[in-house]
Amino acid sequence: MSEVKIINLTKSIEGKYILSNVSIELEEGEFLSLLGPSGCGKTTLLNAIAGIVAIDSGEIFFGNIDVTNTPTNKRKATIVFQDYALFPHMTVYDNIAFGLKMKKLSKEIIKKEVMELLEVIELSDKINNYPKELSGGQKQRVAIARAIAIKPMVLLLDEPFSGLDNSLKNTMHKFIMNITKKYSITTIMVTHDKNEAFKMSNKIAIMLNGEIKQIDYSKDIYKNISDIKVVEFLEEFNIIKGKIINNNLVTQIGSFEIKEKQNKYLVFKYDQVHIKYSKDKNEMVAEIIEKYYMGNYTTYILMYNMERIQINIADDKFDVGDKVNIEIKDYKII
Amino acid sequence: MKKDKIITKFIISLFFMICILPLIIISLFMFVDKWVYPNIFPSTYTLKYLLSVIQSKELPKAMITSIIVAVMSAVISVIISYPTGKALAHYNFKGKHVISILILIPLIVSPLVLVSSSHINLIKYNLHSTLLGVSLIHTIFILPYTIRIFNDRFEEIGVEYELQGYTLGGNVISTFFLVTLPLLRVSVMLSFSLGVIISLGQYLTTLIIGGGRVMTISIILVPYIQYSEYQLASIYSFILIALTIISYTLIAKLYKNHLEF
Repeated sequence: MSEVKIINLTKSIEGKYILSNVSIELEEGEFLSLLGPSGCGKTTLLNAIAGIVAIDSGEIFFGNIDVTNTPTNKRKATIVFQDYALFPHMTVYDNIAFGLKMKKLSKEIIKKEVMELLEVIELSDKINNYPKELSGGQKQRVAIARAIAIKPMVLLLDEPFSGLDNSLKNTMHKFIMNITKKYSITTIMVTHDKNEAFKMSNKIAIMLNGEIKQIDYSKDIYKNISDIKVVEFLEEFNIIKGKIINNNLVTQIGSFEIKEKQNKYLVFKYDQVHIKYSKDKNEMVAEIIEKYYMGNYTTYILMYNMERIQINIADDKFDVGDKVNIEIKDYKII
Repeated sequence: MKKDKIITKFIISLFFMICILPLIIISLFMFVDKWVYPNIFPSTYTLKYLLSVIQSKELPKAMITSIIVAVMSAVISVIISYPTGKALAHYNFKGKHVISILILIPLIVSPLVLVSSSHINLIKYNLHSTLLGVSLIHTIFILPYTIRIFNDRFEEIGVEYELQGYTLGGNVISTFFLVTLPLLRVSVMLSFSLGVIISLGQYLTTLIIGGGRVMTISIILVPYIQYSEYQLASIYSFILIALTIISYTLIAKLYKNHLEF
């Protein structure tokens, strides 16, 4: 049975759909990233799951319990906000103990659980500190510990790394991955950073304009890509529009056999193109018009028969003005 | 640099003239027997005015009445300002802008107009010449400030702390007492103090609504000024200042450990 099941969730404000027929299914311990641009409805969806935002229609199940109309405090879904919302008037201990106190557990049990969590997050020495005395990473660890202390059925993370610098981000990525794995917590994280999403989650849902355009295991996202809007959002693909003529997609860079009539785009990743110097002067060749060093790879922009093509390769021997042959190693027609 | 020094000296002098000098004069006047022009300082001093006030029967009564009215006004203001400030800060609704302006009316419209119109209603509900009636009228003049205090604080803290409380299993009551109220301590404290200060200083409203039966310090004080009884006026003014300082100190002490939030 699924741990979290969301069926056709819809939410509109003043006639505009913020969430449109959103459906998600997650098994226990799965980590889903809601990936999408700002304003696509990710946070609204997270708030709807937590019960903070009322929905127009749809159903939410945690296990076999319908929580669609369950009040926020009884849902067993805990959210960690972007700026952590640690209670400033409480110590680290009291912050983590808050949810346990709400459960009316005995003082001894609360102490035991909090101390155990403090050890896990390696902040036992900060037990009596106030949030203002903690660093960004420490605050986040306390917020995560506070959230998982109540053993939620689903942990909701709203852009948890947006306020951290890169080195701390990497540490916190590992910390959250480890802790959610250790406690086998089903987690839904909102992010607009695709690297973060691919690194941390085993499932990714790509949200655009209030709709989930694609939901898949992380490793299958590129393999199963089928929506041109998703391709555009990922910003890693060349998109070449063509015309369908006799079961073929005819583009400026060649003709490709198609299976479905409605397919009209040839897409291929920037790193799935191979180039070499053109020797045959009569052959149709591409010209390099721009070149950028990106550190561990070089980006070339080529013009090929009026089409602009971007490639990312390790080889930096080519220069602007060079004529090259191109070979597309892997492509999709969608 | 020289210009800055001149400005600083000017500001300090102005502060002295406005805030300190009147206090010195009041303090002196409490003990003055004779102070005639053109003497810079009084020629003779006496304790008779101070003793007469201390021994008077109306002082303790007026002090208690003033404190009761001030505390009631302050408490009512805090109770009204909390939901109003929250609604204005966190919710969007039709007429929000109009309400924000309406709240400021007691600061814009003449107090006499407001008191006269409220008078009819207070008579209707038998609240005229009562402590509660006077407190309610004082509340009208406190609310523009206290609602603003709560509104600003709610805007500052946002909704996340409260929502976090709910997602961690807190119900409305526990979240209010354990999360929201501690975060609003400074607002409660400031609003309460301001309520007490404004209420203690109300003369005209107390006179009209109190109908001469609700005797506060202000009601005793103002006639002394009108009849040039400066010694007695100074003593009552001093008591008024002392009450204000005491009320602020008490409430500040109550929240001493939480001032930083």
